[in-house]
Amino acid sequence: MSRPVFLCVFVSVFIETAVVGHAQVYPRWFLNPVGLNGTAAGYTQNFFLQSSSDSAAFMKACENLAQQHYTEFHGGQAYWETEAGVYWMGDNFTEKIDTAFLKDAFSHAKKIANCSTKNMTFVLVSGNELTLPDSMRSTMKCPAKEPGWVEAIPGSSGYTYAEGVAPQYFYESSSWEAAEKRARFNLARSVKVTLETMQKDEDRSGQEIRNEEVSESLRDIEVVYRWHDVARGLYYVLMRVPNG
Amino acid sequence: MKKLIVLSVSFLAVVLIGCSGSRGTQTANTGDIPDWFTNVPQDPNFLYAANTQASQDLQLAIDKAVTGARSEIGRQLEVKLEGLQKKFSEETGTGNDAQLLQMFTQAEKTVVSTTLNGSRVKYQKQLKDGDLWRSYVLVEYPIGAANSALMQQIKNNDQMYTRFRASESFKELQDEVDKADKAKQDQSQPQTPPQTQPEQH
Repeated sequence: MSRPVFLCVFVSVFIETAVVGHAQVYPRWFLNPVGLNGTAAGYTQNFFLQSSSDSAAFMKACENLAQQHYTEFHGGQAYWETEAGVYWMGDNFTEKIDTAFLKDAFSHAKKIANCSTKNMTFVLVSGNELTLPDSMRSTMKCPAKEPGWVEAIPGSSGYTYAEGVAPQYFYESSSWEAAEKRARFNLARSVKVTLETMQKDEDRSGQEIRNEEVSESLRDIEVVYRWHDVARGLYYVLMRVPNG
Repeated sequence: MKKLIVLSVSFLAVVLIGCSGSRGTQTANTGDIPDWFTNVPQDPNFLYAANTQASQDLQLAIDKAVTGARSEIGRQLEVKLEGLQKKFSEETGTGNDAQLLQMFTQAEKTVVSTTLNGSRVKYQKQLKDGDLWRSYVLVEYPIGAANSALMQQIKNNDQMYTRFRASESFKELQDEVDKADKAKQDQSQPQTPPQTQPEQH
């Protein structure tokens, strides 16, 4: 093989590995927030000015703090199943938070950690006097191997766990937000869901209509773990809420 | 010659960086069907239902599968409670007592619609299936919750309670409720969720 060709191949392989295979770096308290009670992480894509990114991330963190403190879920969705498959008929889910708590959080929540990466800015706020341990202040690469909790969702009599998944959106922060929103709804559905189904048999074909309603309020929601599946472009968030 | 090498390297670098811009949604293999989907667990204290659905939208695939699995659990519960109703009727000779049957049916319907709480997704997996996302889920529902609710419904109705409390079926139901309560107390300590995989350095 001639020298220029060999050099081109070598450089192309090096660039491919460097760009595609690079694991994402996140603050440790963002990926493993379990045990940091009374805190919430906020994040946003980087704006032109770093101060704008910090402000947006702080506001997002306060919103997450309010949502974790108390959220009401209302709504439902319906499906129609036929021989050809399952069709989604629509949904109307809503989330309500305690706006008084949110207003208080904007004024009194303390920023206890922040971190900026190439694409995103992260902020950790606390609603109480929590001090972040030094061991949690570093950054870490998101594990390449799928953690056990992604497929086998934990369960215990003390907590109800639920997982949210979202695909890759244009802004990574949108993916994390979508995954967290799904996790909260799945928590509400795990706590209580009303299901109505009607099956119909006609000649040799069958149909089923399913209606699912959720009306539940949750307190003290906690983000347990987050994970980014780089290979498949999926974002996972595990949340839990105390039982009773 | 040197210019040619530099030009080739630069061109290749531009092409490859452009092509590798997508950070996610790479096509993946469909992968194996999870074991827990083909071999649904069996446990006398839980009802299980597995379901799989596909959709272009990832979240829709998951929602369809979870709702389908919960519907299946609802049906399993109805079958179980209808069987319980039959046992009560046969044992107490109330098969022809329409009023009592109606009360029991009402209690059964209430139980099915209001105690589907605590039903959780135990396992879930998402795979690419061609252009679609396919979601596999296994939903678990503790029977203890349904038994407790049915027991409470019976006790709330004096007539039903009077007729059924001496029956063997009622005693069996009471035993199952006591067992479930004891199991709950034994597991009352919150468990630490599994740790993430060792981080990369």
